[in-house]
Amino acid sequence: MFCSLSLQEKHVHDKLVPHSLLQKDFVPFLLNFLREQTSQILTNGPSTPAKTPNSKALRSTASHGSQKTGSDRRGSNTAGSCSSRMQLFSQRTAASTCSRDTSFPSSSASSGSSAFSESSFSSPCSDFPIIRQNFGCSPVFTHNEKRSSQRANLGIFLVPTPDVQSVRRGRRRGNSSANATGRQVARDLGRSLTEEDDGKGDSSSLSGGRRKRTEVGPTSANSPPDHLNLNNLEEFPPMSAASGLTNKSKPSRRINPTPVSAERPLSKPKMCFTSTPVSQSPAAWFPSGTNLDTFAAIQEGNVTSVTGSSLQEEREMLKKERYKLLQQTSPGGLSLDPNTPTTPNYSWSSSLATDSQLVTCADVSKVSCKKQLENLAQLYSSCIAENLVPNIFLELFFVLQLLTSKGTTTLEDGENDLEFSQGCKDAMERQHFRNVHNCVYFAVRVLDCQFAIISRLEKGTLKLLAENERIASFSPGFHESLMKAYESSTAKVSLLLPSSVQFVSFQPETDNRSNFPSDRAFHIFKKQRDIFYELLREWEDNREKPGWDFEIVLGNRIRAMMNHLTAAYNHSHFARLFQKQLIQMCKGPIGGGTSWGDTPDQDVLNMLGSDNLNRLKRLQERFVVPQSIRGPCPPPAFPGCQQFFRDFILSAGSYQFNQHLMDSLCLKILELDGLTFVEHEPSDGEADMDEQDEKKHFMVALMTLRLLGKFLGFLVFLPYRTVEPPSRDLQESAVALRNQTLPVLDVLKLLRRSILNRRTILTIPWVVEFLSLVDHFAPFLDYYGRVFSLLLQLYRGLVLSEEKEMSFLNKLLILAVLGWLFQVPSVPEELFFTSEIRWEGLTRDTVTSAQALDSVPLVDQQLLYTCCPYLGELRKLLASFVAGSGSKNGGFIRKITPTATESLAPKPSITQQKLQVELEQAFFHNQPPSLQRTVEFVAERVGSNCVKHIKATLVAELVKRAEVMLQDKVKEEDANHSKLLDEVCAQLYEEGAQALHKGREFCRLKGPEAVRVLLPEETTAAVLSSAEDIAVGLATEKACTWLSTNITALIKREVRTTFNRMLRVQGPSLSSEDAQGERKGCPSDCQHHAPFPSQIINEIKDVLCIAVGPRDENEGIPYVQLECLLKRLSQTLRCRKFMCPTSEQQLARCTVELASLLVSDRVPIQGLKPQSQKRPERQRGKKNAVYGLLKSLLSVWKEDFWIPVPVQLMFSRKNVGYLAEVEQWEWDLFLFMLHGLVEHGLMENAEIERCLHSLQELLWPSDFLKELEMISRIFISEHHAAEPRTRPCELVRQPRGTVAAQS
Amino acid sequence: MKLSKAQYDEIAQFLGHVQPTRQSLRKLQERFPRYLNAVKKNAASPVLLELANEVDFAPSLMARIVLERFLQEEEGIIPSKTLINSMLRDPSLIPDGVLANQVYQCTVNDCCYGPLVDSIKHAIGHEHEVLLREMLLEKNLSFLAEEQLRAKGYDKTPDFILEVPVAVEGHIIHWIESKASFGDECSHQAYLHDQFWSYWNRFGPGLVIYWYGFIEELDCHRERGILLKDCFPTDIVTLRHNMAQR
Repeated sequence: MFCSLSLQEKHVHDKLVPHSLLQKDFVPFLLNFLREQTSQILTNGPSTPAKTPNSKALRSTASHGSQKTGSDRRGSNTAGSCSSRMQLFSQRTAASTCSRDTSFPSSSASSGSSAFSESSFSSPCSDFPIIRQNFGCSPVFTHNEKRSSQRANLGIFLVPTPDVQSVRRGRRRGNSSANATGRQVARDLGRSLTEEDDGKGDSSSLSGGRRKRTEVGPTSANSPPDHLNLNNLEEFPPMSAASGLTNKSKPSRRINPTPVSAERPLSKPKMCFTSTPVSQSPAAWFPSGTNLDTFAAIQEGNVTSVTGSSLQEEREMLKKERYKLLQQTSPGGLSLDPNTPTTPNYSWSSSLATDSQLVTCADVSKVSCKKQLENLAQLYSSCIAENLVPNIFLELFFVLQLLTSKGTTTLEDGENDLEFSQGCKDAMERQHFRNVHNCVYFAVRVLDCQFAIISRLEKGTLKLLAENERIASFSPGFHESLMKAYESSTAKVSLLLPSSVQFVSFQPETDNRSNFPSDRAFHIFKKQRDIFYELLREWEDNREKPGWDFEIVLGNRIRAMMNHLTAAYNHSHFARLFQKQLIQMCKGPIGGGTSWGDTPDQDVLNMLGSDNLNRLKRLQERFVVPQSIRGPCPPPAFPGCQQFFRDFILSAGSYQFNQHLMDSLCLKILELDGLTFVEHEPSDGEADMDEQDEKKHFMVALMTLRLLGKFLGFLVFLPYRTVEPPSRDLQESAVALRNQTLPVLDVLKLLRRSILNRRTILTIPWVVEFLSLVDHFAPFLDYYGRVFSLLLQLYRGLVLSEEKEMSFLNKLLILAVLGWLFQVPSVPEELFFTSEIRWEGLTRDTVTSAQALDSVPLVDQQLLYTCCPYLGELRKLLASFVAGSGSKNGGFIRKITPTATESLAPKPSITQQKLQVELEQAFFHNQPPSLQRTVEFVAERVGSNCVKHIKATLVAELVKRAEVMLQDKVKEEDANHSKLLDEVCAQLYEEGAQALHKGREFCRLKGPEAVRVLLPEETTAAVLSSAEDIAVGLATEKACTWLSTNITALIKREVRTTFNRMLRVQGPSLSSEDAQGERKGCPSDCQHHAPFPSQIINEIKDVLCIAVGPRDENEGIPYVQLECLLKRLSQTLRCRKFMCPTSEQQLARCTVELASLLVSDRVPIQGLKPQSQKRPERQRGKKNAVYGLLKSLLSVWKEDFWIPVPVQLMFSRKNVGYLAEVEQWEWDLFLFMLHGLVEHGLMENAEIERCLHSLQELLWPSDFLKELEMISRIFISEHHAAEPRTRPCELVRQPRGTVAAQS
Repeated sequence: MKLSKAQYDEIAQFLGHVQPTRQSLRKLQERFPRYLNAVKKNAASPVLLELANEVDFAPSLMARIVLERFLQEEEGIIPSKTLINSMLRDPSLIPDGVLANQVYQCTVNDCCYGPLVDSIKHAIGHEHEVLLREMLLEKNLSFLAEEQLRAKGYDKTPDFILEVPVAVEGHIIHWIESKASFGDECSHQAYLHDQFWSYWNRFGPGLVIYWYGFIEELDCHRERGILLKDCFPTDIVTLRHNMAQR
């Protein structure tokens, strides 16, 4: 039966073929059956003994109800008498409408409702009055038409025959008697089951136990069955309550269904993945000898389904109510919030507290109906093993819940007799899982069968399983294998891998001006980059703060920025930046949860060595990684930093941006999806090494792809996303509309290609992320329908086993992500069990190309758990059991052993190492990506070549020597060859140690060469040498690691081969040379000790200040100081080291100003040497001093300045004005200056003449103007006379006298 | 020199009576006529400077305002910034000789603002950059300087980008910015917004050297990647490539 579904087994027994449709209903039924059966034990607590209604009463109601119409039924339901509580996996078939269903629904439905109450309404009922009122009936009418057939199936499948040994045989038998379907058969079977159990006297029958319970329970009297309060947590505690989950826990979606289906009965049944198409003719189900009774039941069901539609109105109301509820529970109103509708944290701790004291000690001797349990376990295991369940890990979670279930002790013993006497129970009604012992037995059996999967879980989970007492006592053999698996497991998983680089580096090739259409666009983008990071930082700082709202605080700023973007057509640039930053921050396992703010104090971290660092990391993990059990199927979320990017997209609300981003994401996805990973040479000895690299590359690519896939999915389906699932009325038109458009990314094509090329391990995980964000209608589109059915087909086909085609863990990862996808809320349940799967012929490339990844063991536990963090729920569940229910703490306890601080003593070398690694990352980050690729490539190849080289030289040499040694010895004694071999090898090992040395040498020699050849010519020396060194380091590390661990083995292997051959033969025998190298500016002997330009400017400024005034009476500047200043000015100008154009210009300008002030005698010079009393002498002395200063200024201007000095400023109106303001005009100083300028070649005569001329045109006092004219005339005449050049001051003296005389 | 914020505040309070506030501006506008009157009496007396002192206003800013006003009245149009700046830089360009003198007096006497001070600041900044470059060369750290980066088309450029990053006091840095000033709250915030974060956004974490000290409390972004120092760091770890020996 099962085999026919799996792709592997194509041979189906002829007789089974007709039942191919039946089989599809079997699995969901089985799953529901198990949930129903066990729900009791999982919820029962001693304080609430009366939670199941009296079976007798129920049954009678039910049998009466068989004649009722739908509306009658509703009435009774509302009253609660029928208590058709929801099924765990909500049934497609409504129990109440099947006339023949007399007893079954009572138990199943009642237990189901407890799950219902837990999932989202575990709060006191008063909160949700409408729900309470209605939920009872709606599921009943949901899929009433299929119930009977389903039941018939179980009847078939549970045929118990004394000699049933193998499940398969049992199944066949069941099928062969399938024509005798229905109640009758089931009852017979039930009887036979009971009879069989007779001998052991441990048969447990439902009603007996139930009656007993009602008798025992004190509350039973107070709550009569027809007044069931389904929202009462005491009576209907959530299923996982007793399994040790605390009130914080978030149960998995399917195990603990939300009442969704209850409120949208017409549309898809939320809880139910079991539906078969209504259109299916009943006749098709039972082609031969069909029982009429069954038909009748089916027809009735169909009739009532019509009646059921009359409930439409009520359902609409319910729908509305539900959305209200959803809004309440998810404050953001966004269905994608990380914490979408959760179980409100109402406590059932009171019952738990008592529970925990009475945790049943599971006892293997108290297990009843072992055989049936065994059969069930086999059956169930086969379903899991053959991928017939929608989510393997969900089932494992369920089984672990059973394993860790806590039953009551009081009721366990001594009830068998009563049950036994009940006699005629049918198989359905029998409560096989009524006590903890049975549950544990079943769980252990199933786990045992799933050992292949379990043994590959991470080490912590294995440890908990291996240490589980129940497993140890129930199956010592299994326990032992677990212990072994645990001990040999290396699958340690750490979920925290913070990356140290958090920004997108600026790359001129893509980011500089030439990449933008205009300057404006370039500058706008410059700003945008900064705004983007500003927003990011603000978000980082504030997101944790209460009341901080992304949209309120950042929304408008984002939109403003987006507007600029639109204006400048910069979308593609920004989309690229956005995507790069996204990858940078979020490719880590928990969405880049470790942000800057969250990282522990760096100083503390630095104090720890890397060992301790890891320990600390693990410790941190325990605090950071969410502790609550959320079940193995959390809805898609955007954890950590991903939240920022999601909110950014939402707040921006920019169509253009989204489109560009999608383009960008698609491109990147296609690029990564087609990535070729280093081809490997599995035959080679050093494959190990490459494999490790390959794994790393693969992991990075996979994680990035998943991230991109998720965001692409988010964007693609964003326009169609609705807060509430739309009603199915709209579906048809919406689907019709949307079928017309092309998908943004052809995932179907990619999927098919990846199957063909055997690269599904890379493709499926990101496709799953992409699809997990589908809106509610997308799966119904033709295109995505095909995608889903292809995925389903793949899922079914991927039976877990060791084989060459695909490694086990690869498969496990694919199964885990697909299983998760099938549980995503917007993916319809019927999808999994639909009969309309369009099976495609899946052809796989038979030739293993380098592209094929599926066969390469790329996935390890680290990757598995990183991709599917929800697998950690298994461990949490087990841990919570160990912690002894932990209810008092409100969470399960994790033991943290404190470490003494001494052990954390700083180890500088390790800190340094860490820093080095970070430096290396940082180095690569700002370089073009090709640099790192080159270095890594070189390192890898050189490392690999190094090993080969060592093999070819050193090892070969050693082997040769060994050959000689062996040859001698073999002749001597031809006894023990292996001992001889060992001896010889031992001698060689020591020399083998040279390999490390030689390897290092090799890498040091070859690495730089290769890097140099491969990097662009233009690479600067420093970068080149760093790159070379890193390449050498990596290559050496690689080679040496491999050599040190493998060299002895290698030598031995080689020697042995040689030896064997010999026997056979015998038997038959930088440095930075930046521009700074030569300072062309400074004199060759310059020591650069000259004063700084700034200092000189400052000093000149001070002088100017005093000269310009205002100043005190006696304030002045010592002559020596001025002299010295000019000398230092000259020095400063000669040493060019610190000079910059601005400084020089300012110096030039200042000195000209100073000269002007000197010329007009405005500088109060003090401390002149001959302090003569006589005024004229003093005047002369001063004048001489000024001459001296002017002379040095002239020479500095001529010799030391590199730029033209603006001496023309001397003739500016302002500066000549200084002269005019002085009462007694000092013309000889001025004339001296004029001559000096000419003499030093600073100005031409003509130029000076022109300046003087233009001065005269300005508005001056008339007498000054006269003087000015005079001076010009003197200057011009002197100049034209071209007298022999004597000392300028002497020259000047003459005219000055004239001027004075004239005035 | 590192100051704690408290220390700095004390100093600032002690010094801080020169507040270029809006109020003093208004006062100034009212007094503009006084300038004309006073100048008429004695063109050489430092009227403008005294005026500035009287209203607690930086002289060069005062000069700028008066000059603006002057040109506006003279030519009837609002003068361009470039024109004003060039006139402040070279008062000889001012058409009114008296005003030119007055303005020059103001700019020369101003210790905080004005073209002269600006060029001194610029010179100091440049000198420290040169010093830093020296130190980098001395330490054998290779870098790309601003000019090279501009040539490559970078949109924002720190003084030095290290071609091979180093770790300073355990923090990785990619760039170094030299600031020849004291890092007070106000200027640091402005720098962060206009420069440092922009550098971070493009090149990652980096080091800022405030050669004239800074308020210790401002050095709070170390973890995020902006490190402050008041001297060239001594604790530098370079990428050593001795991994083979590890």
